Amino acid sequence: MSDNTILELQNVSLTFGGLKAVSNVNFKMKENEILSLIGPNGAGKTSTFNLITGVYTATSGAILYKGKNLKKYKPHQITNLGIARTFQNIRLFKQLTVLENIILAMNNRRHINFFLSLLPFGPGDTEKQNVQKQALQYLEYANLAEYKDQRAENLSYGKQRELEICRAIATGADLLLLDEPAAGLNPSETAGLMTIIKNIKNNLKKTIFLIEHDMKLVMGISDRIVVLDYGQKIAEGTPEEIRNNPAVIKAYLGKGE
Amino acid sequence: MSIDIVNILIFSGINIITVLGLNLITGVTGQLSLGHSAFFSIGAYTSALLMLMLGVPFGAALVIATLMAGLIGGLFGIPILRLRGDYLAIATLGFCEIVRVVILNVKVTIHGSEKLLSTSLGGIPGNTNLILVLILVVIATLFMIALERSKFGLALRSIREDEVAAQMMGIDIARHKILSFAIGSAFAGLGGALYASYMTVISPGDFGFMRSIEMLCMLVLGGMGSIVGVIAGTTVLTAIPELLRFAQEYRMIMYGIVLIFMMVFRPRGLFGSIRVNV
Repeated sequence: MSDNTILELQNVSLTFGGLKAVSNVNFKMKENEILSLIGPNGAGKTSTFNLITGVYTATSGAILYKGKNLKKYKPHQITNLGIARTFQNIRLFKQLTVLENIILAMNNRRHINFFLSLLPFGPGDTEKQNVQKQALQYLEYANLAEYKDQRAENLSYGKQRELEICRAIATGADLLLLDEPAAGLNPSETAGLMTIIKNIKNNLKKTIFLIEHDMKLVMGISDRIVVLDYGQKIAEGTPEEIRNNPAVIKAYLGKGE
Repeated sequence: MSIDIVNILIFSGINIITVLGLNLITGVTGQLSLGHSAFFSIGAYTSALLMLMLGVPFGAALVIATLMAGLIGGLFGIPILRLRGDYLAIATLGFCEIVRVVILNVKVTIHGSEKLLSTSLGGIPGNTNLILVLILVVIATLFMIALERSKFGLALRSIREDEVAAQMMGIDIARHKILSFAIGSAFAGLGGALYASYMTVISPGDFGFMRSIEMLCMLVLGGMGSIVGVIAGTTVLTAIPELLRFAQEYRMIMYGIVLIFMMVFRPRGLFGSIRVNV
């Protein structure tokens, strides 16, 4: 295994009763790359995300993150290892403020005694102020600082998407799984999103695993693409290779006469 | 009349402490509990029996009763807090009945004579007074305000908002829910212990399932997740039946009318600002 592999799926399968949602999928992700997972609806893309984040346990096969088999970890522990995700349908903490959403994501990096954390003075208070400052820096990076005291539910749809990505970054994760981040965005918002994702890769040095249907986005920013169809990997390669791959064209457009 | 006001204040205080606990479980963490009165009764009987059987001083009995209710709440939380919404509500309701039936069948020895707890238990030292209750209400309120603003409290609120997302942000939701349940139950235990020492006579009938519903009504009236709401809702619903005592059974109709009006005109309660989807 080359030393810059961050995530590796080895013959991963997931079965629900008789249905094979994911079947013998293999691929590797390198550090600091943008890998996109594409495929028709029901191809097993979100199931793959759920396997990586521990929501589902693989029926067979292994998922290695930085060489660790994720099988024995619970979802919250996987996040603490350094994998964070966003959701297809936005799942913010709606009635918490924008700032609180970020502070919550930093939860596992906060080390403070329970009793000290209750006091309005002393180390507990210092820690709270520090974490607020750091959270604000994340918001400033994402250009969301002006909304910090608003409830997350009051942001526009596009801003909510951005906040969700910002929240995933705030967990301190090295690997971000973005599940259809462009869903519901208009073309100019999608263009903005492309810049954001590129910046996360280039400035923050994160690795990004993307599920997306917007082909312009996928082709524009991916380093490599993996294509799933009926739970199986049918292609893997650079955007150029994927664009010209007959199996991919067949999966998307059907077989020509 | 002045005695009546002291009476109402003491009952309000006891209920505020108890409902603050329920607010932590239901309003802050979003876990619907219909079994809160069980922990109230555990606190009441633990403290009463410690004093009657072992001669434990009142202060120590209060502390032990609080811890006991918290411990049982935590242990009970381990298996049931994987349930959500109405399933959880039914399970807590079942627990409430279990505790009641256990108490009905316990036989204790007090001063050398055997006694079934199914009959009323009297002779409890009446140490609860207004000053003590008020001091404890202030401490309980400040504790809850601080808790809600702390790292732990933020994690609980995130669980209320979206359990799956909270888990994906690295929150150990099982641990947090159990701790929330334990702390909330401990508050009910403290309320129960104060109640026992105020009434000096308790019986299993005081702690039925309806008592849990009453606590939930106080919380809903004030506004879930709002500490000011807990204090207001609890005081109003404690005072109504006492002030309308002359109307006998009809006073419960007033109680019902207040709740119906609230749900129609202010569904989030007097001071509530959040929705809780349990």
